[in-house]
Amino acid sequence: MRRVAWVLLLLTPAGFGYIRETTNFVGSTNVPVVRVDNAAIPFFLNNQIVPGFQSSVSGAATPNITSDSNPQQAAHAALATWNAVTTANIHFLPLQSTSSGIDPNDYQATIAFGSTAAELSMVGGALALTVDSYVSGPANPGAPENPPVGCVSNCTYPAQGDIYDSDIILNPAYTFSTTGTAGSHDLQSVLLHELGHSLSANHTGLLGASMYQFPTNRFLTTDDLAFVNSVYPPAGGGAALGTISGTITATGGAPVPYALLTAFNTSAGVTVGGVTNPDGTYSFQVPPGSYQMYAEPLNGVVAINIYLTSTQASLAATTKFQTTLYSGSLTVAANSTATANITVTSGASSLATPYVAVTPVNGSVSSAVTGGPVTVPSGQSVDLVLAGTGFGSTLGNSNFNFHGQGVTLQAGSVRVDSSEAIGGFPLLRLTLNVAATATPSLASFIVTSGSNTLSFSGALVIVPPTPTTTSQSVVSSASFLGNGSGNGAVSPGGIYTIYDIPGTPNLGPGGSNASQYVQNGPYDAYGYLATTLAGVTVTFDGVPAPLFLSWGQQLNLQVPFEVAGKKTTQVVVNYLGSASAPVTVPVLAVQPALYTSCSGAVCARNLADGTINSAQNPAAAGTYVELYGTGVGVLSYTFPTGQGAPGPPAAYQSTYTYTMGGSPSAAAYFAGWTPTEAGLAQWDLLVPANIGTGAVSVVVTDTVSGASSQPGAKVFVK
Amino acid sequence: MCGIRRHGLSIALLLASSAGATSVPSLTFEELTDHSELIVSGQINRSWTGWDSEHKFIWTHYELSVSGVQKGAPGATVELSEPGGAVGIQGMAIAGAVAYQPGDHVLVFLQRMPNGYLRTAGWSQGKYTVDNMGRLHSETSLRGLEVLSAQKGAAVAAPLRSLDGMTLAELRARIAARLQQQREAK
Repeated sequence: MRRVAWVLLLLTPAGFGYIRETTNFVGSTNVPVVRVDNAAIPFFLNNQIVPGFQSSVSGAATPNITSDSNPQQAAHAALATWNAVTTANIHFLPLQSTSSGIDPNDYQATIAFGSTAAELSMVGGALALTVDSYVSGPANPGAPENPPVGCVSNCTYPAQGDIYDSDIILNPAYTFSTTGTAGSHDLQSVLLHELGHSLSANHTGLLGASMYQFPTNRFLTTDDLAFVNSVYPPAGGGAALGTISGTITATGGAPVPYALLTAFNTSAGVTVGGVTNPDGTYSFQVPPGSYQMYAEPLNGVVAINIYLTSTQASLAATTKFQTTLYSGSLTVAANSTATANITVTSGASSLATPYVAVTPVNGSVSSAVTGGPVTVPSGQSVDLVLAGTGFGSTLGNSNFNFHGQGVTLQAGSVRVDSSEAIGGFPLLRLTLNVAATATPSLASFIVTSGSNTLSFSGALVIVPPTPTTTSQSVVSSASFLGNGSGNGAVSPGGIYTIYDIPGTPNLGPGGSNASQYVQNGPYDAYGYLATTLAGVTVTFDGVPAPLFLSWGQQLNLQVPFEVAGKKTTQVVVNYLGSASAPVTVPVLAVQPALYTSCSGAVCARNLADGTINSAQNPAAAGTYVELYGTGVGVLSYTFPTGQGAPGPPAAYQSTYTYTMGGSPSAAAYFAGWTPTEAGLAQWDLLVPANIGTGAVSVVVTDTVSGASSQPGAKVFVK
Repeated sequence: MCGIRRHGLSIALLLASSAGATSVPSLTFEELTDHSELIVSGQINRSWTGWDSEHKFIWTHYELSVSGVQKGAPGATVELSEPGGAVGIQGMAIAGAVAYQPGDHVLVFLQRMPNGYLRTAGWSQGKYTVDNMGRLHSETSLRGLEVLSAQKGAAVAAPLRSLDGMTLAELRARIAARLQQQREAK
């Protein structure tokens, strides 16, 4: 069967405002580094990175990859997330496997755990780091020490700043997982961050962005998109952008270097960060729209790694200032510039960094305080909990300003909660009403107390609502039937559909907009389908299911073979970190079902010539037709969940019979999994004579279980 | 369109699809102090770059003239090393790597790496610029939100952000107290 790579990508707003990696080292000219293979970037995953991997140098008692994790899928998903940015000219090739380790001079981008003293010294105490090998020196310097890979003569040598190798070193001192295991770090979000470095992104100042120094997201924010959209515009130009530029000065006119800037368009859900130049000027591009903006000090809440000399650091130290909003609103048109100069209010803030948590309204913070950016499920009210110096009963609603899409502070909801304390501070609770959103976004808030301010830029990561579904909504993707009694049901290895609860399209991206579903790409280099697609993960008793399609109303997936032998399985849908309540679904050994809705493509083929069976192209009596479906369960030959099926062994015997056009039951020539496909089954059937012409009904039956395919399936005969 | 229907998914859609930095954990003051072999203040004299002994990675090395010792027993100068830099026409960029300039007045927490190099502990968390008033300023903001898990009623470790703006004398006293605490614990 011909494979078609059909990728429908998330539409993502473009932006600008980023911090790039540069060649900035001691006394050298500051030149941005950049990839030149950006349209086809090969990455290799060391083949030791498998579930349960434990480094011999870690000295830890626990594995570096938890045994329930799928690291290959995590890497694949991280690559796919960057590839989904359609507004930039970047593309990572399908992940490849390698036995090679880290070598920054081999022209092979490799992901591996550090294992030598040299590698462990590089990674230090970090979870991971990316080494971008680039050409230093003047422009067009000729080859580095080695010529470009595969080049024998007339080589095109890279220019100054060109990255020719990127290696990601994972630290064996830490445990990574893809399942959220306590005490582990999420491998996918770490790799997503590191891949950003391989594209030459530096750390950003927005707390909730993937390129923030402590990444927690499996998705990219508008700030992360800003980087790739600006550095790697597509040929012929990218999205139409406008520019915001200006100067940040202190009272008296002195320029403010390295001020952090946050521009936001709350109606569009865009938040982009930037930083001023040493002379206080700045310029960054944003999608057209209406914006607000503020400047905050570098040494405020947000941590960002910008090199400062002693002179600059002293300047920063002596130009303490308050977070200051631009007094007007900015209307940014495409290909034009809007100017916003801000004179910041001098003085250090007396508001000290608080602890932050998000809980259900009046919920306990005992397990919710994580610090850093906080994830806020949309479509509900939550409590934002703060604790720290200056955060007490003197603050009310008027002291807080929230800047994000659909985020409002509930009137009169700022209150002190003395029932708990963090770090010796009582809790200050604020109830936020967060409108439902189909795509993640960042929100910021500024606290003002007298002349003091404190800003939390991009600190709230607004994610789509918690997915909801029911057991009745888990059905065969071919028959759309459950177990025959109105309930959902699954069989091992089959392709199934999970529907939303009507009116609440919260299972995945796009809400109810059918043009925004996301399909998976091809099998990865290991032969597996992705188990995370557009931020959606579905597990059956904790085993992730390979996904074919993600959308707010519908998910299509392969039920893991691991449910075989069970009476029921618990299904959990996770979208961008928000997990549904588990639903219990019956497990059937088999549930044969034939596809009947083909929209012009194949439901069946005429095996005589391989053409699609149709009213215009019926099969003749005495020839074979091949019908496609799913639900044949565990057969005598097995293969892993998510991989394409192998061809059946020579001794394989089908257990299926069939009737066609009312003919007597006969044995199927073949019934089993479709070779090279995951979850797809096929039945090869001889067309009997004397069953009439036109569309005739077909029913296949498993003689072991007695289960039959749904009525209504037809094949065309002549 | 091979699209989605509310009650069905086209097989065409199905077949098409089926066919087919640096992340640095935050350290507390206690962790930073305990993990550091040396805590010293002084001035950066000079810098140079070079390959490591395996000729695998490029490092930038700095000579620090020591004027104050908060922990350890260094000589008059200390050589500290940070990953990245350029040698000839080859360069290595590492997001988040710490850099210094000759003339910088700094206080640094230094950790011994497996390759023998002394490196700023916790990446930039171990580097403080000392201003003309003798106060410490973190290169990056370390007054950031706490990245930790707190249990109800549990003691919260002293956050590192509290060092920003502290004087050298205040820091020296705090480190001494921590070292005394460590000795008593033994």
